[in-house]
Formats: sequence, structure tokens, C-alpha cells
Amino acid sequence: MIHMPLSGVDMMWWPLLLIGFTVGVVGGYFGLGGAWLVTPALNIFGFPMVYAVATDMAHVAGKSIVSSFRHWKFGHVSAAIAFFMLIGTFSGVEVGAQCLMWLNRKGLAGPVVRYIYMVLLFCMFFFMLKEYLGARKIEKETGQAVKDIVGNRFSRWLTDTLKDIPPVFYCKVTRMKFSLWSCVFVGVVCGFVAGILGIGGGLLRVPSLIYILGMPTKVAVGTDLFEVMFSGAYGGFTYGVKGKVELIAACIMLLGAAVGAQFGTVCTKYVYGITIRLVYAIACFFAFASVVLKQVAWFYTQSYDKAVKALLKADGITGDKANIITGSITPEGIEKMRHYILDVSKKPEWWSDYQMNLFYTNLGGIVVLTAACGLTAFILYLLFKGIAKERAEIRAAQAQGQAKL
Amino acid sequence: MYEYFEWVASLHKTNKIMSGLLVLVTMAGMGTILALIADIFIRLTGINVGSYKKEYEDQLPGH
Repeated sequence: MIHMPLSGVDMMWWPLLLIGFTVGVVGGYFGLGGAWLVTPALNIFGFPMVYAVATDMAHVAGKSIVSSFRHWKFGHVSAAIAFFMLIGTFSGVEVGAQCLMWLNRKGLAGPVVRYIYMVLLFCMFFFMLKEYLGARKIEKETGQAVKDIVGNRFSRWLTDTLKDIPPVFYCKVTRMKFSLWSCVFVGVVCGFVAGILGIGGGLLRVPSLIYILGMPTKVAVGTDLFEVMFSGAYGGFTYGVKGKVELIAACIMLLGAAVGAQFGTVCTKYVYGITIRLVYAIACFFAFASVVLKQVAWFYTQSYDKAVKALLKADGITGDKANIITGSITPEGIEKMRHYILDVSKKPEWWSDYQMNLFYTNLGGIVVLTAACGLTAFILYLLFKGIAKERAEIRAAQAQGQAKL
Repeated sequence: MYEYFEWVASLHKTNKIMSGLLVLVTMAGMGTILALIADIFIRLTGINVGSYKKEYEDQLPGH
């Protein structure tokens, strides 16, 4: 059992290692993993949400170095595009965060953010799945494999419109010319959405690089992970200053992620870009399902949340400490809530609402964990199949060479 | 080793900026070292992790 010094949580080391490994595989494969996977997983194992978010952000800073290094070696990273996007991302995040503060003052932050998140996730799932099925249809009709789809009408229009507006640079990795303004635009859009939704941005950045800049899928994944190094470092630092990062948990997760990332990133060598998009679509669907379940859980909290927080305030428990108690799914947290709802308030109807909230929150976490394990298993299967095929080809080539001699 | 993590956690009360910097340096340092170690291990397994012919290259300009 490891004691977390900041949040006071006691946790076994192996779930942290396993979470790190899973998110390393998934993140290394398509650049996703933080907000939708790590934070609910840590929450299920007893981490208060605010510490889960901060610890995830810190571990992402280290994990993305491991993943980017491998993608760089494969030639999947455009550092120039990543840097220019970063300029837009920081300003976009600030504007998004200010919008979130405004929504918060109006009391609309929670539901509005979740609805935007749901619509975004469902659209990405639907669009990428439609694209994959369209590619399979073309394969059947033409008999030729569709390995990746590079560019679309919008990305070609954007590139043509902005290509003569300086500064323009040539990207060696994609052999395309880009205007700095198109990269900054993508950064601002992704940063704004990340700022308002409170997510890391990888969820939107990969599709943005694919559909707005028209990059090949693998280059979008590699470039995204490279940029995440810097935004993750900034996030880790700011949350570290706020005192919310459980460093020991982040380090254990990073050990697992460093191993998992090797599997996930190496797998990208053996699959086509269109397959990465299919797996991305499936991940978006499960993330969408977990957000829907979280929204359902939120509806049940509306009957008792304000009243219980008022009681906690009367006992001198406010802010983060109050949120930790009302949002906790640990036996200790549940016992405290039982005391305030049944013993103090004497409201059995609130207690049944609280239990429904717990049920849907746990169900959301289970959906995400099951999806992550399934995706990890699928990615590992693709990896070992690819390695076996490569080795068989090498042996066949060697045998042919020897036969000729 | 655990004492280091406890010390970083306690540093937050006296020096928030240093606490944030230590989180950043620890994660970045650990990530870099693990990336290099992992690279060595992967090469020892015999998997070819160098550059390879990408399936999208024929769709890029200048092909």
C-alpha cells in the first residue's frame, strides 16, 4: 500500500502501473489517453478528481517524451508544425478558460461543458467510422487497399488559400508547404476547446491535424504527442504549484507508460493510417458513453448536492475538501455522505439519489476501463501480428537469397 | 526514495514555485531516461525501429 502525501489516499502500486501501461499503449498508438481514461480510472481507485486530473497531467509530461521519441525515430513528427501550433494553443486555452469562467458565473458550466463534450465525441466517432466504412467500400469496388487518406477538400482549400501569406514554411515530413497562420489557427481552435472543456487537447488535435491541415494519420499522431510534451509540462508545472500532483503516483504510472508506449508506438509501423482512425473512432465512442453516464449521474446529484455542501460548510469543510467528500466513491467518503444525508438531514430520498449517482459514476468508470483494456489487447494483437509478418518476410527473403546462390 | 516524494509534497507549503519545478523536472527527467532505456531494450529484441517506407508516401506531393 502506498500512502499519497497530498490527498491522503492509500493505494496499491499495481493499479497505477497497469493504468500507466494501458494509457501508454493507447496513447502511443493514437495520441489519446489522458482525460477520458486516466482520471476516471484513478477516481475509481479512490483518487479525488482534482488530484486525479493533476497527477494525470504530470505523468503525461513524461509519457509524451517516451512516445514522441519513438515516433520521431519513425519519421512521424513535424516539430515545426508542433511549435507553431503551440503558439495558438496557449492563447486558445486562455480564451477557452475565460469562457468557462463566464459560464461558471452563470451557473451553466457543468451541463454546457458536458453537452459540448458529448456532441464533439459523438461527431468524431461518427465521422471517422463513416470514413473507415467508406474506405472499405472503395477497396471492394476497386480491389485496391486504402491505406490512409491524406487531405480533403477543406484542407486543400485552406492550404491553397494561405500558402502565399507569409511566413510560409516547408514541412519535410509531409512534403507540404504550410502557412504559419494555418498552424496557429489549428492551435487556437484546439486550445479553445481544451480550455473550455478542461481536457488535454489530444482528443481534438489529432483530428484537427488530419482534417484541417490534411496530414497523414501517423504524422498527426506523432506531431500531437510532440506538442503534448510542452503542454503537459506546463500543466504539470501549474498543477504542481497548486499542490495537486501526487508525484509518487505519477512516477509509478510513468514506469508502466514507458513500457506500454513502446508497444503502442511500434505498432503504428505495422498498421495503416486508416486502421488507426478506426480504433480512434471506437475510443471516441466509449469516451462518449462514459460522459453520457457521468451526465446521468450528475442529474441525481441535483437533489442533495447544495444542501450537503451547506452542511459541510457549517462544519468548516469547504472548497476542494467538500468536493472530495461529495464526489468520493471510497467507503470512507460514502460513510460521510450517509451521515450527512441520513443522520443529519434525515432524507432517505436523497440517499437513493446518491446511490444512483454512485451507480452511474462507477458504471462510467467501468465502461472506460473495459474499453481501454479491450483497445490495449487489440493494439498488442496488431503489434505481434505485424512483427511475426515482418520476420516471416525477412526469413523468406533470406531463403530466396540463399536459393539463388 | 519515498522521502523524496514526501519532501516535494511538503515543499508546496513553503515554496510553491520550487514544488512545481521539481514536479516538472522529475517527470521530464524520468521520461527522458526511460525513453533512452526503452530504445536500447527494443533494439535488443531485434525489432527494426528505424525509418521505414510509409504507406501514405505515394499520396504526398512530389512523389
